[in-house]
Amino acid sequence: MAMVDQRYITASLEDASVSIAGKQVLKNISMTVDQAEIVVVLGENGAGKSSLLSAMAGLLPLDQGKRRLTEADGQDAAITRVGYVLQKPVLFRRSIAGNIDYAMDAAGIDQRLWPEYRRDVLNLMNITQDERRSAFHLSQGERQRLAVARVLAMKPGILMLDEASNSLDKTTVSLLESHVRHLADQGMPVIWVTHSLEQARRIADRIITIHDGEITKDCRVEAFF
Amino acid sequence: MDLIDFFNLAINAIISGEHDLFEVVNLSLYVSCSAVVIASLIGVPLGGYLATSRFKGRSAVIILVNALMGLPPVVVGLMIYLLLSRSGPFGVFGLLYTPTAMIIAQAVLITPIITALTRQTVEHLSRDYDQQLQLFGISPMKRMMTLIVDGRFELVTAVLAGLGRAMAEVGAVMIVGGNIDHFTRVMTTTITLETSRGNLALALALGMILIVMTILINAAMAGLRWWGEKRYGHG
Repeated sequence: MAMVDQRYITASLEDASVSIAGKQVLKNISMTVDQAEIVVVLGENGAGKSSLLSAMAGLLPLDQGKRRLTEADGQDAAITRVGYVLQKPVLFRRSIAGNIDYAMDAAGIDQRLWPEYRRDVLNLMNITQDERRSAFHLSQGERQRLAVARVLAMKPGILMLDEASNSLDKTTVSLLESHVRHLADQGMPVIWVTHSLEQARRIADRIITIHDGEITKDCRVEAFF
Repeated sequence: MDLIDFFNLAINAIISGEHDLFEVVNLSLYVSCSAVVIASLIGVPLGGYLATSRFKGRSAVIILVNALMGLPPVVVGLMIYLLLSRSGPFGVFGLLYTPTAMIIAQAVLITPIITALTRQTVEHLSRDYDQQLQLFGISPMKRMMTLIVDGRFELVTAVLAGLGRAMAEVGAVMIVGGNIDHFTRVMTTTITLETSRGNLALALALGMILIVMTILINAAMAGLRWWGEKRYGHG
């Protein structure tokens, strides 16, 4: 399976603060996500988990501080190197294949590789429907799986998953977790926002808790539980 | 004669195809459809650009485009007349009183409609797609194209609105076309002429054809949109 891109990136925030509509949602955050680790971000609703992920990816401008997405050779990484699954993923009004192809096109993947990559990610996310069908007809869980598949097809250098397993059944969550673990073992840095302590226990190497826009704990999983 | 008699005469006129009825209908369709194609080629990308770009004076441009949707046809006709008349800057092309002049006038009238409706549609879709497209790091041009392609079934409504306006237009085409028999006479100008002559049966016949055509075009477009939304949904 041609799933793994060996080029990974690291992501960091340094003393970063972010405001949305005048309200400060992140306060003086400093953190780095290194290669080959799964960092789980835990926190209650509105604590700033999604904002933290958005700030790291570059979706939100920083009021202050620095953000860095860095390739292994020290160069700045493009946003297309971030495999980000939004909390409410937006699928395009196209076919299943069209959605994945669009992402691969954006990531600059050689078009000759598209069919193989597409097949791989569809198999991986257990999407068995005809890929020519409209993504609109997928169930909520299937749409979430397609959103993850689309991101994986981009061969990202880092994975950022915002409640990515919320609408998934247990089997698919398990498949996704084991694949993400496989990617992390290959060197992929992963940040996974979740509400589930159980999921954090299963997959995390490191856990960050966030409350009211501030990091309250940042430790190895063994120390957390 | 009462109204029923007029209807009977009108239906007879349609069935017998008298007064070169279908020549007039064909020219109407040719002029309006050509104008819609031209207006769409300008209005859809322009509306997409207005929806996806940010520049100084954008709000003023949007207000202007919205205002132009209500352009009085006779004023447009007059402006095009002045531009195309012998003494005007484009007089050398000899376009006045030709179907081409009528197409230009109708295109000028409906381009703002298609532009404004496209902007609304694309801007609405843009709000949904914004973060995802940002994550894909695509260029502004590709962003615009993506939104236009994914909003294609809603954009049918914009084109339809333009076509409706073009088909029903009379003032501008009368001024720049001159309503010349067998050359620039279209349904709306014929209805105006025949009504003033008292030939109400023919005017009514053309009115019925115009209404039926409008309904059929609307139904076809609505069907296309329904099919598209059923197949591709709202994302």
